[in-house]
Amino acid sequence: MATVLADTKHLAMADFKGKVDPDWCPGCGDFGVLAAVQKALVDLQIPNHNVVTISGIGCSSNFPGFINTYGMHTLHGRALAVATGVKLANHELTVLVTGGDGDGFGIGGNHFMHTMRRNVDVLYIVMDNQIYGLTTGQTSPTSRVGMKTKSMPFGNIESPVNPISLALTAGATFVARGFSADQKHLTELIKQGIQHQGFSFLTSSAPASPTTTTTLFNGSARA
Amino acid sequence: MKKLEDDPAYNSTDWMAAMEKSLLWGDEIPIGKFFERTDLPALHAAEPVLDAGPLVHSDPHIPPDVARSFVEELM
Repeated sequence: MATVLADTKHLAMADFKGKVDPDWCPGCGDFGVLAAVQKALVDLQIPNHNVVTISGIGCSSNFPGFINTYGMHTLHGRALAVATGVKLANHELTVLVTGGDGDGFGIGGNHFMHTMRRNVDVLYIVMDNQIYGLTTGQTSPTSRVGMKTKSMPFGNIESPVNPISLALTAGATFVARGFSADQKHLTELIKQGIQHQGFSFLTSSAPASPTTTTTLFNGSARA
Repeated sequence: MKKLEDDPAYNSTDWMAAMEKSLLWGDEIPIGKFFERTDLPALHAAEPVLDAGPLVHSDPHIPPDVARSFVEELM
């Protein structure tokens, strides 16, 4: 996918810093994913103008505003459809798609499945915090059974989707999971995903701030 | 969290092994590359129209009057 090292200038982390500072809550795992993406682009020396970052709606979908690449903040759950259009219009671009578990596995579940079977050459990074965070904490498709949220205050009674199994059965040709607090490892996975020729799915456990949600770093839930 | 690459026996080209690992969640949560296959073409590579280069750089060769009539037909 990547058009690597086209310019003579050596790119640094500052070159990929957006003009707007992230408005994520202190301690949110999305910070770790943003830094890892920027580091991966620096390591691969992909010029800013060859990168497009596309998102849907949600906390993590504000991502394109925080990184210095071309970007599109699209409709809820529709980022992969837009990304498919961008990639087919100019397949020399590195196309990154970012979003959360609600945006990707709930509202955008249909696009998720079909983009995988088509093997569209994009890297799709899902920052999975197991909750709808932007709306301050409702049950999402990856919320664990028993997890207490604002929409299910007595505990979630629905079985969560398994994003990795889903991606494998839908035909994704690159499937990985990272952890937002393990920067080095996550950066390597992002680099591999960018370099993969075909659809790359990377779900990253990105716990939201404990002040806004119930998900903790150990994967359990609290009231 | 347990990194898949720390297990030398794990083969990320084995789809069944990836499915087995995907079911783990609890005391052990695997992270890393579960699966990769490189034998399938990406969508743009499977489309012969794009062999000549990106669509945005191609000349559509559509005269303005033809384009206009096409738009009028759809309006």
